[in-house]
Amino acid sequence: MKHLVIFCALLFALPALPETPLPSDSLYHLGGHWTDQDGHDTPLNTLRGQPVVLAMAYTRCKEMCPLTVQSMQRIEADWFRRSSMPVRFAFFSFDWVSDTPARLKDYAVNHRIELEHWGFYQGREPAVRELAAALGISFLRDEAGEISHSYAITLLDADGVLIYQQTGLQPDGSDILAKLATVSSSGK
Amino acid sequence: MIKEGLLLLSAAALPCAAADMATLPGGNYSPFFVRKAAKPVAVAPFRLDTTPVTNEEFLNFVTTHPQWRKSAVPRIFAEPGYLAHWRDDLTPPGGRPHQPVTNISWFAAGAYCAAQGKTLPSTDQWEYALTDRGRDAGAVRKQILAWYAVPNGAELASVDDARPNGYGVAGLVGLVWEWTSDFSAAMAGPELRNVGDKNGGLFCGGGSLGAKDAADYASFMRYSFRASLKASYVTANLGFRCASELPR
Repeated sequence: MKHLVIFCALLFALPALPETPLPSDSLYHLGGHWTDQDGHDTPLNTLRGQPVVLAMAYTRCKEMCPLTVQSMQRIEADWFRRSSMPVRFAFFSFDWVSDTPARLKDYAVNHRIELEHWGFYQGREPAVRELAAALGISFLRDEAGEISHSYAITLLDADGVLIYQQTGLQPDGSDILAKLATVSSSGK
Repeated sequence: MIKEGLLLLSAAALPCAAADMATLPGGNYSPFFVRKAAKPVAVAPFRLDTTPVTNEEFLNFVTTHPQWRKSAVPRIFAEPGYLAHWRDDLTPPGGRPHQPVTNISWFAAGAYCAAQGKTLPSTDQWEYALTDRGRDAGAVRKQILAWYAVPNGAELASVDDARPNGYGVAGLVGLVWEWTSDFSAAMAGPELRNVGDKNGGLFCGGGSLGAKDAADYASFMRYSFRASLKASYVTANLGFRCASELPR
């Protein structure tokens, strides 16, 4: 019993220990600078610690992006209906010119998004290019500022390792939900 | 540890062999394949390394940036074949210091350029340099096709032997394929929706319908190759060079 108490005390002490190194294939090795919808500087690795469901999109986008966000909101609703395990939802903007933090905040408010679970992030061109490259997402920004891009919702585990990518439209997000259940129950 | 310290010292003692750069005037060019209706694209003046980055230059980089050594680089940035032809972290293949460095991922190439205060060239910049205002176009195309016919695995030539084009830029073709900052953009172009069908047309006959010049097989190969890459990929015939804005 005494040992158990000590063991539990040690467990609580763990967060004070230096963090374990990131897995080699973690997205959180990316060093790009991001700013959230409230203007806070947000290195990518601040998302470490719980699974993350993320997509790249932009607020001017009229076609795929609203569907992507809707799909993620549906995943969010279904997940928190059945579980209290924390999951973050993240919107990374392709549009380093127009998507200011204020604009991202407006977008979140207009889409009735729970900022308690979500973050909206904008970064400069190199950060956007690196994140897209790491996720295998192609995009093209033409001279007029129009952006064409491939589509994916990506699930990361708590250490930022890519677990699953949904590249086809699947409005109910059932694949991501199923994977999310396995990630959060694996103790990561 | 001592050995590493000595190496660092000796690298620092070397003259800083900054790559030569050519200054390219701005202009318009018609990109192959990527843009709708072959509309000419305006390219602003810029500077481009005259030759691809060599094994020796990349050694100087990993010496001062240990996180990019082959034993240290995180998998997210480079697949396991990264610098596969180097014997160890600080030993490129002997006797070939001026060969283009290959087995380099897009992330590593970008980090190298950033350390020099440069970036990777955009695909437009790279292709614009190759078009060279049409100078020797026939000869260049012949050279490209002859090069594509060389089997993989043939020994790479030294960058010193590459002949500069009219802009003073050498070795764009004939040595290695080269990374660009937006290598995957061709996959995202809006006109691709009109090219072939979604499942198989992209790299077969369907794709060439979008080409500016259906006979321009060489360019088609280049765009297809770039579009097939992922940023952590490395291959034995893919290298890079860097670009920069004009100093103000």
